[in-house]
Amino acid sequence: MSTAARTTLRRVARVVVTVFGVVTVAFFVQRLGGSPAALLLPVTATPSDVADLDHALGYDRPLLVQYGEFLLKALHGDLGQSLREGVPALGVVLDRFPATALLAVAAFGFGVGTAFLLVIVLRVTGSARLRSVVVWLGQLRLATPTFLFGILLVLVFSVWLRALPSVGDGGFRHLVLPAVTLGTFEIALYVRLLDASFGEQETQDYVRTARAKGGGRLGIVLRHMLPNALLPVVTVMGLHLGSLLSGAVVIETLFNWPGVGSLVIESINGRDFPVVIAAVLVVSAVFVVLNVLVDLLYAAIDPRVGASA
Amino acid sequence: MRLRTAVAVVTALAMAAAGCGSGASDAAAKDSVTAAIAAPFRSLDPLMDSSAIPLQKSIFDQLVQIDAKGAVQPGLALSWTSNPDATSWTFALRKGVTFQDGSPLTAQDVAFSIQKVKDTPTSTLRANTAAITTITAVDDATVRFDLNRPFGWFPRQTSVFSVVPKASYDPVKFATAPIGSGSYRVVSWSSGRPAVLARYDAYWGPKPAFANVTVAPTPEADTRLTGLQSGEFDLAALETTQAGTVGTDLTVSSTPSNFVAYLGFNTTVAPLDNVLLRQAVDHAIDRDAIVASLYRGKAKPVGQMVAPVTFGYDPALAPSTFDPALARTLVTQSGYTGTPIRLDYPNDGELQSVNNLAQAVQSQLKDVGIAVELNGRPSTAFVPDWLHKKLPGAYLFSWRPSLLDAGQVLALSFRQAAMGYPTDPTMEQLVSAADAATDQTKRAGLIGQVFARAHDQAYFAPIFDDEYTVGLDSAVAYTPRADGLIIPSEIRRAG
Repeated sequence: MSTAARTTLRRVARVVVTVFGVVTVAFFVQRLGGSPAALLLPVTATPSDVADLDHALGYDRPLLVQYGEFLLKALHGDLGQSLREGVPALGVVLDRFPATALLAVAAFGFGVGTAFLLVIVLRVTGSARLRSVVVWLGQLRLATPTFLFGILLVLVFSVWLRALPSVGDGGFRHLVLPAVTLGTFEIALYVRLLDASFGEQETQDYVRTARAKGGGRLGIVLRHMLPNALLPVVTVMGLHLGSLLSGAVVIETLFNWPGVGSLVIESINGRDFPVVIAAVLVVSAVFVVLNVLVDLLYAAIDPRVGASA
Repeated sequence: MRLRTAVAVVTALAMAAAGCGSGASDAAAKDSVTAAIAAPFRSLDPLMDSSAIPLQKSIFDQLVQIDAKGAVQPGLALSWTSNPDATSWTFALRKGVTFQDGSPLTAQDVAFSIQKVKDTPTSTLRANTAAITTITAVDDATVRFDLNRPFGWFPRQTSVFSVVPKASYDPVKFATAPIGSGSYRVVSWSSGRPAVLARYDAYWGPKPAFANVTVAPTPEADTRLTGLQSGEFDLAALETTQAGTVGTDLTVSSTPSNFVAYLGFNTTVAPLDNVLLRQAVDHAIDRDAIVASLYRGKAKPVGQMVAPVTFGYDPALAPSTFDPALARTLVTQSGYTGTPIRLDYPNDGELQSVNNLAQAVQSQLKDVGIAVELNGRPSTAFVPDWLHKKLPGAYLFSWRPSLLDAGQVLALSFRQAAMGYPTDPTMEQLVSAADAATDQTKRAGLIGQVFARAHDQAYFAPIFDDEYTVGLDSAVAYTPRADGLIIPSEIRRAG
């Protein structure tokens, strides 16, 4: 077996073990609170109604037996039926995933794109005043709770100007406010990271050499500094895209966005355990896979990072 | 200079973004409205899940309906009678009712639907069928229920059962695209999104005002309010405390609710097995102060286990007086030694500001010499203990009897077989008699006796009831219901 194949295999094994661990923890944490039967039924249900439902769902058996059965079925791709919808739990989660993915990618794209643009403008112009304004606005956004910032945007653009919708999905206009709410946080984050990263490059020999050779400022920034400044930021980007894809719970709830985040809240409140587990599985898988991709990408853009990383 | 240019560009972009799409809210005569309700729903199937109950009331028919004031009205059934001991009920059905697929609705469909609920352990409605032994479609227009106990208010109970077509019922299909016989049919719905309903024109009853209603489940109260203010919602369920903040071009309508928050006691163990100590607790609670400071005066003190809107409420029974001196005397007489009493409560349930409420109760009891330890827990931990009567001292809890009948509460609170702690044969007899009475005046009298005895024995210390509030724009009118449901077919045109 070649080194590359072994490395890939090791990475895949790591993914499986991580996801398995996360799902196991989620399974037990949920069940420690007891059976969901009492909470699925209206308060007017008698103890015998509850016992019947417990039995029908199999929640009256020892926890380890339930866990064993859960694992066995999970290996066959069956994460159980949604207690609320009566359809496979994994399907319920996958139905809601595209909305989350759309919001995550839009917020990420908007945030990262704007941040790069801003930092390149800052570096090319070298304006100290512009830089302090951008950094100050970024700090302000980072310090504002996302929920509060979202409500502010809704109050201005939906309630006051009546320009953009504030609830639900359905077309580009619906995407703007939630994506901007999340995306502005990304802008602030990446401006700070990229700015610092560019700052380190500024004094490097290769920059001085490029300047000495009479390279234009824009050319130096884009062609020489950007690839090097990118390296430390890529890892953070991967992690952050992962957390965006796991469903921005607060923002999805605020904007009635029909994604995984709002599904998880609904399912926890509705005691739909199989759906919560399925959501945890999907989210952790996405997260871990993204991490692996970042590792690979890192190796591709920085030759110093070997395949063994 | 460069900075100024950048600022100008950003400002222009922002203004362009704000400008695009303005003018979308033209005030043309509406034929469709959007209503925001608080509770998310995960299935429209009325046999398996009741989370979509407000929609189910419009999509399907039930044997009887409960009106906005809480009275029972004919639905599919035009009339109903029972045998003398109220163990068998016969309903005469309306003729000529059709499902939204055109097929006729008969007694067979009624019997099938309720039997299916009874036979499905995972249905969240199944507990409502506990009293039913057999369901018989006597002929196409008559259905009979034989019960395992005298049940004088069974017709009201049937309002929870929606009727689906026996021939085409399929649990998977009906979860998202059910067929009913109600005034609205489902156009589209998928999990997490609003449900779009369209008027069913062959409906037997009054024609709803709007051709289309969209129901948007919106758990976040702030979102319901801003959605109403931005014109995306025409009607929204609001929290009582939001009522003052909606703005000028909107109206707010409130109604007293069926909600009651109460303090319950484990009356079987010391020290709360002592009636004097329980009475002391009852008189030590300053209900007026709690209502004014924690609920902005939008709730009312209550002295029995149901609110005034619920059948069986006895107007003669006033809330216990706040009398710390009397409470202190009662504590002394009871021989209470100062052992701390544990106060359990769910800290994530329906009771708003529950942690503050628990602390208020704790400090008010401390003032009269009763020591209380707080034990707030998630519902997952609290409810099973409540259900199996494992709470050691006192507990804070609440309910909203969805059928608007004290019968729902009596059985739970005072029957040994259920969640009631009191072991009181007189009470059991009274509850059984109240359950069996078919004459509603007689029933109300018996329920009054139950509450009077509960008050004398201080089995519970009811604290307050609250209000339901809806916000409306200028296009719609809605009479808030005593059960808090927002039912699409009850939305009217303003003016």
